[in-house]
Amino acid sequence: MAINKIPLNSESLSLYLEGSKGLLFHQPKQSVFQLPPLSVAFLLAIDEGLTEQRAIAEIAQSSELSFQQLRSFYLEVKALFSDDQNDESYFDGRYPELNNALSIASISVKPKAFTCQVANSRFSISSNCEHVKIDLRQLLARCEKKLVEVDFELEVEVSDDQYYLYSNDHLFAEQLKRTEVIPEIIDRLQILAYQRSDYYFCYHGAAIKTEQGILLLPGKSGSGKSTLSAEITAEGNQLFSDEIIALDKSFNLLTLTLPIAIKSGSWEHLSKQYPELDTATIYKRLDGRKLKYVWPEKFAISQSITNNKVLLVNPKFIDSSHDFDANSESKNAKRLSIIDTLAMLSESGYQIGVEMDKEKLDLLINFLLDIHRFEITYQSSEQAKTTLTKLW
Amino acid sequence: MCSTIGGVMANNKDNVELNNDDNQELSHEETRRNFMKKFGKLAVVTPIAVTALMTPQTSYAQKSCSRRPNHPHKPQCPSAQGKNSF
Repeated sequence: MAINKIPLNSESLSLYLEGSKGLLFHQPKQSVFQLPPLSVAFLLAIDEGLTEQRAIAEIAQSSELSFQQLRSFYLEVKALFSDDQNDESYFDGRYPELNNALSIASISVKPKAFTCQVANSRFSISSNCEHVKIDLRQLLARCEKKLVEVDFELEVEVSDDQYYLYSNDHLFAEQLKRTEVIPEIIDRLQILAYQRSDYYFCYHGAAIKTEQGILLLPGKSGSGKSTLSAEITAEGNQLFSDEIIALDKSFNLLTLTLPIAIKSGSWEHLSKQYPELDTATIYKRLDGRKLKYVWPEKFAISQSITNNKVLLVNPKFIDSSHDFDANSESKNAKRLSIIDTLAMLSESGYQIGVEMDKEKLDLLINFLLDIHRFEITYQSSEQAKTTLTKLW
Repeated sequence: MCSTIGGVMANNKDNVELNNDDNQELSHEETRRNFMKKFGKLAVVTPIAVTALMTPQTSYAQKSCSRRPNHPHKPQCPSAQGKNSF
């Protein structure tokens, strides 16, 4: 299905049509909207200069909706022609220590602090709790690096068995139990590392380099992507990250050398590929989910992925209580349009690292046009991997 | 006139219509009428509303979980004198 850019009279709006759906970029708001066919029709009518009465009357000829119903849709689209800007900027989503970290000199490392590097960001972590210090050194040995200056200084303070976490003097977690500390630290390292990079687009999901090409697995928490990425990585493939797909303007994919978080439901399933799971420490997220960490054998080097074959797959795990035909390829794998892909990426979780304009949206759309995009449903990792093999 | 994003035709990827100079230029009215003619029937079905896909308000750091539910605000760590919080 082709995606076509439709010139508009409005200088603030850019419209793309893909099948019956529309994609609208609103420059003053720096926002992207998905439009159903009716809204596209109204948008074109308003842009052409038709009055409200005439626009509704014309569309009413083909619609069974009432005048009032059509008017409500008309008004929704009409509001898009407002040049009001957003009160917020994409930069408002940056963590507060970033605002200073990008402009101040490096921080000297305190004595006995643990130091490590993730992507191009350097961290020191210190604590007044010996257990936390031991946990950190053991778990993060793979990214440990001897440093005298860092970009971020994390501190873990314990008081009355409650833990308080600071990053460059900003309190970012409080009253934690000891088992909750490490996941919060690792999340912070991950987020600061990608936010400090030159990323344009960041999506929640895993990214893996395989023999066939680059596999991107965007999806919401609980979709099975971490378990699937751990399995695929265990087969000799190289991990960029199990949580973050961060792309810069040249579509270099960022590598974050951090361990993979495996939720309790997958411990037994993955214990064959990761025997260390049997004795690994159990941690807890703030929402109560238990997890353990494993390290992949290999990490990929941050690189541009545009010269590779790229397969973007949104995995949807369905449990055994649902009917599922493992042999039905047509039902288990659905090709995604550009607009459906953007909607899925949005729903999975995203962060934009730059101020948006239509050129950057064109950049993203062109990237998506050049890759293979699917949604797959599966009940087991074996089914997922079989489907992926066919998709390659 | 319709122009097309991307001009590369590749195997197993969506067809991308190349910008064909031989196509007649369409006015906005013709574009709208062509769209309505082609998708007019779809207007009969109650449509999904306009959906925001990318906004500054919904762009934020991708944590693996949300905060602890119903976690009340509690005092700052006693040793945190002079430190900021947010």
